[in-house]
Amino acid sequence: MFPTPDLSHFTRNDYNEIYEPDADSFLLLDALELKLNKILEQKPFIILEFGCGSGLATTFIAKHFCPTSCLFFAIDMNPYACYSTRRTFHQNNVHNKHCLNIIQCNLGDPLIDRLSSKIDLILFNPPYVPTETSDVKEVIERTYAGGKQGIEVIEKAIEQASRLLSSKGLFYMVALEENNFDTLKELGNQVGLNIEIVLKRRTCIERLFVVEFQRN
Amino acid sequence: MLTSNILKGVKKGFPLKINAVKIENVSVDYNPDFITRILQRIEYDALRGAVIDLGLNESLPETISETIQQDETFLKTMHKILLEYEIEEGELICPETGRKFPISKGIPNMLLQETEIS
Repeated sequence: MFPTPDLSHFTRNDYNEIYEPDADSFLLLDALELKLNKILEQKPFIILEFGCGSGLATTFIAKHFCPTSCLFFAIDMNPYACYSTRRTFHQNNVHNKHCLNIIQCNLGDPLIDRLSSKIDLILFNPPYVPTETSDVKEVIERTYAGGKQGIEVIEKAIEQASRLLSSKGLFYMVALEENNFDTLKELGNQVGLNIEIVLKRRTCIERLFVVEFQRN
Repeated sequence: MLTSNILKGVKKGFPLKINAVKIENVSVDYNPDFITRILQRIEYDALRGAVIDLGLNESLPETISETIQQDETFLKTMHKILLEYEIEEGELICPETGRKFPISKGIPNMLLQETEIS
């Protein structure tokens, strides 16, 4: 088991502004670790995280999955999450080895043209909770509100991933049982991506799983 | 500097013009293999244009030949430009629409309003 990146630089006040890593965040790390050999075989060079939040997943990858220098893109709509991701990257001493580009934006909008078919690894712990709408204003609400069936943001992310992934690129995403695996499979199929379940876990309040998408 | 070479503006807007208010020099470990790989993925003309616009005291050749891509001095210059010049405060300007995207504490804000997306 790889150690979880050091997050001791954050205080309660920080977690009023960004999502505090929880069972879903750790499930993503565990799923990545299960796929360690497959990811290492791809020799990822360009790595992207949608909704980077605390920067936990990006830093975890930088620390344990990248023997040589890699190019990271971490994006979040919340400026506080952007700064927090940089702090976590520095706190864990991976900033001298790797190049981290942080951008405040909505999913991959400003990156798609230039990074089309170039990204080797994409990570996403999306807002997956079914809510009336995903168009919410509150910063913390945005970290979970997934709209109808919890898949409004997920649907866009899958479509963007299909354009961003390199030929053997991998996309790992957390999902909730209510998001429905068959729906995710169908969304992937529509844009030429195969899907596979990597890991499932039941927490006290949610049934979660992590999926892997890859070009078919 | 690297980030600005990847982003686009409102529609096709590339390259974004950089207006720098505060540039910081950071120190990053030099790794020639990394720079060589990055070179395949950047738009060299756009980068060179940005270096000239910003008035950075770095000289870059007009084009990059096969031989220069193995030249140590050139790779070190590219390393410095791409990774060690950080635009802390300023803005990126979309060449088509003139829309300005602020850079604050080194992070560009590329968020568009609903009305800007067609």
